[in-house]
Amino acid sequence: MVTQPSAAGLLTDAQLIERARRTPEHFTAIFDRHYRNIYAYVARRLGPDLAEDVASETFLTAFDRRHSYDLARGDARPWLYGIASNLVARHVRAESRRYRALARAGGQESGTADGHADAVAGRLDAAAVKGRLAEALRRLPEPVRAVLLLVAWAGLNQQETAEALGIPAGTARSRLHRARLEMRQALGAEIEMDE
Amino acid sequence: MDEISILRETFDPDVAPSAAAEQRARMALQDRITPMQSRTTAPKRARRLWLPMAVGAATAAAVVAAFVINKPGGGATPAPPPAAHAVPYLKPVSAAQILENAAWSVEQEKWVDPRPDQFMYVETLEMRNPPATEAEKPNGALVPGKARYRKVQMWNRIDGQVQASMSKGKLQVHRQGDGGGQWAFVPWSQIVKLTTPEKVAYYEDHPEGGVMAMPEALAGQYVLPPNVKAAIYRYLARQPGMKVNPDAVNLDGHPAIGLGRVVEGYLSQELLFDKKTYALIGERMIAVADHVNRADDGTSYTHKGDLFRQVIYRKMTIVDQPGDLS
Repeated sequence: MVTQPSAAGLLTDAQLIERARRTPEHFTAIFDRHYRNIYAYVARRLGPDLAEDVASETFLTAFDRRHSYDLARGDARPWLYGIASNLVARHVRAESRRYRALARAGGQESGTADGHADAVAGRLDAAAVKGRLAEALRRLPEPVRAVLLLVAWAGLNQQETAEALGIPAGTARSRLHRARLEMRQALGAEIEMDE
Repeated sequence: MDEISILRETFDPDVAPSAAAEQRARMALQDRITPMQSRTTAPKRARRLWLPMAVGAATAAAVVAAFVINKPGGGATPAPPPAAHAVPYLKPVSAAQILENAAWSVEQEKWVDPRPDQFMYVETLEMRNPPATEAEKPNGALVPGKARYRKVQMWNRIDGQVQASMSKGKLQVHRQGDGGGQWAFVPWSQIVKLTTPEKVAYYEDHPEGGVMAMPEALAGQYVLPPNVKAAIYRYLARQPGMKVNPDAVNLDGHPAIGLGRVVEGYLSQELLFDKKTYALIGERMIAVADHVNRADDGTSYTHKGDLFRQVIYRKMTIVDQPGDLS
């Protein structure tokens, strides 16, 4: 049986998951809706190679847990991002290595800036900013980083982030506050100039 | 622009999966979904029963190999080594992912059902201590530098009525009931039913004819159709406690991955898969922690890394007669 896209398109995530409890094929509509975004989030944290496996496993895990999904929540994104974040957390060293490499690349590029051409300078500034942010992300404890990146890269709000990670809203708020401060410090002058 | 916006725009905002990656992920999900359709009433988990394949020689009869050849009558044709980019998980990190790759790889084999009068031929290299050491410590760890591989060759007729082995260069053939001897053999009619993880679980609790070999043992000691091997790997992937042993293993020149469960708190009982092809190439039992065993017959000390059993699966195929190797 194939889930009809037209029918699936009219249903909320919760309705699809409810149907998938009786007819598992409906779960492929959840995959079709969210796979690319989940992949993009994981790829930014772990790089494309690991992202492929982690994004895939996110949906296998979600499928296995469909019976415990809270059907009162129409949007499955916080649930899926929560599963993905937990899987990403298993690769904390790989994530750290990725940020270290990005930080190094940013540092190298910024060191070559000659300041003569605006376009070149702009590109190098961007590389330097990325390097500084990557270094700051690397230094953040994983639980704090997860909150920040669910907001910044997954586009969840604070409440959804708390739901995704299974933490109290106040905890999510304080972790986000801390993470934003760290990012501001890393950005330093640039952010003040822009403001 | 605030720091959240900068973060959002600075790190590859448009990163997207390749079409092939998306397809692989969708197929993995579809595969997870499909067996659910054939799920029967979930059996209650009962006490596991292990019946050795046969008496005596059977304990040494451990097993078979993954790349099978073929005879016109039956068996599998070797799958070309799967391209690394083709397996479901490019860089598997968990036991479940490695087993899924193994299941996917084995499903690429072609298979012809054997006739009841054909034989499963299983050739292994089993590491054993010298006889004097075995006599002194029959359950002791393999002694580095002294333990050697011994070739074990076993033939079992598909109908379970005839078994043969090679002993000191001579072929010994036995029939069920000869001299009152009997050995347990999982019926072929049972084996061919094990086509999903759910059916493997059901078999564990309701083995046909009351003869049950653990799924791990079936995978190693029987020549199985590809879909049965795949179902067993997927069944194992769902078992709690399945872990990847991070210690490197080199089996007969092949880098291998060890997957298994810790038993008695210090022994890891592992299946070994080829790191590149995901073929099942052996098994081992290794201590993963120090352990002191105090018993009436003395105290024994086990050290982390002690190896208790190591078997290389050399050949697993269907043949026409005992003594045939291919």
